[in-house]
Amino acid sequence: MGLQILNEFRENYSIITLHGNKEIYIENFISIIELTLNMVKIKAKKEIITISGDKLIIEYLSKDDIKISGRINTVELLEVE
Amino acid sequence: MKSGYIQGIIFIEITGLGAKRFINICHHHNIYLKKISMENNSLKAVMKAGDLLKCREIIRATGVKLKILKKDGLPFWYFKHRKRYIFAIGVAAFLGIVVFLSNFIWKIKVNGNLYYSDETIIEFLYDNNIAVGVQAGIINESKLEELIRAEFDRIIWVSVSVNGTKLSIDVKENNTNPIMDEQDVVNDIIAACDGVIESITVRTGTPIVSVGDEVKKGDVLVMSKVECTNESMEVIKTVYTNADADIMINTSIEYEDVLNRNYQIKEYTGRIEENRFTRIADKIIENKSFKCSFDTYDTIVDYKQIATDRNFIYPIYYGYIYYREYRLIDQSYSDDEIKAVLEENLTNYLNKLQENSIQINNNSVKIEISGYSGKAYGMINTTQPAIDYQEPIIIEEIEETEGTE
Repeated sequence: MGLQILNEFRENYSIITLHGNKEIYIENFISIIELTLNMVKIKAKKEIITISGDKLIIEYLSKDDIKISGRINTVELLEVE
Repeated sequence: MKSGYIQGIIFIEITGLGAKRFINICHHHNIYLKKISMENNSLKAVMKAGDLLKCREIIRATGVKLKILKKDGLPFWYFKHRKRYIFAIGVAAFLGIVVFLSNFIWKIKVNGNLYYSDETIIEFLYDNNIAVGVQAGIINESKLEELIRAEFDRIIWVSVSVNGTKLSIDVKENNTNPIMDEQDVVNDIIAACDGVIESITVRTGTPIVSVGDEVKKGDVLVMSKVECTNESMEVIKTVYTNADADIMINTSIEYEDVLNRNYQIKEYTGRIEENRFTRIADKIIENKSFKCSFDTYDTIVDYKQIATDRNFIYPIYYGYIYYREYRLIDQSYSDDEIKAVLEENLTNYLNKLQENSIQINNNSVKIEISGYSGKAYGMINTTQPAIDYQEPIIIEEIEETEGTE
């Protein structure tokens, strides 16, 4: 039962992992909306994630995951349907 | 990044309004970019060299301009050096030599041996045409195991294995006294030195000495011959057994130690010269023009053996020969120093005796100091298990007659 809920969660929501203010790792992302040195806006399954900071670099992106590094100041989530 | 290096990577710069769209379409087509950053309205990223061709359509569709900033990786390195034939031949020759040398044994390692030294076992292998430099394919492991077991009595288990260019011989020895274990062996116990019997405890055999008896080196202490008698004390049977006893002998050891008053010590000047060398098998190749400018020096050789793996060791060595200069300084001991050194030597000697289960009763060592030297001499009275084994002389006819009487 617990595993079923977890799988359902994984499929429908994005999982955001922050490593201090240096790295952010997002699973279930869809596309990049905006990219500058100070801001990265990402479209995920059910939200738009805005990461603000300095010297932001997309370390890598794969089919569902993205990793951003730099000095992260804020992470904003905007729920969209 | 290693796989990226093998496949080749390119550093690109994308300019134009559709840069973000370019990334998203690339992502959609499973072309994954790395290290993406936006600088001065241009987007910089790293991608696999192989993905560049796949991007053509995307570049056209998004209207961006793609500029290659830098190429890195093995395919580009190979393309750059494609005309260096000699280098390629050298690499191929090197690989060929490595593969060729891999077919031979370049190291023999003996593990688990205590009683038999490495040299003894390696010498035995040499007598059987197995040495460093032989072809690995000719070694028959099971046959070699049999030969080793047959030759060395104390080795009770042996495993021979060829790993790469290394021949490993793992042995297990019987650490107990083999004489005591073997049922067929018959031995008398004899005195290993002159002295007086301090104590005697016999387990098997017939003792022919008792406590307080004076014995000479080689005298039989416990006979292997055991006579069985009846009630009338007549010998009805004679058997030979392996004599076994704990015998302590009180004996004196002569001690003498001479120390010269004048001696020389090395004082290192701190100057070091070095010469590089390479050794292939037994042939040493070094810089012939080098000549050490020091008169007196220590030579230190620091070398490494080329190995591609723990088990693939080649007969090629490289390293440095260091020449460390020193001066000889004349020194002389004072009377107190001579006495101290001689006393220390005596203490070390006595400690060494005690480590070998020899009990020290007393010593009459005297120290005499003359103008040029000092001398310690005297006798050390000890109690020790000074016994040896010797095969008895058995005269069959006489013994049989005695047995039937």
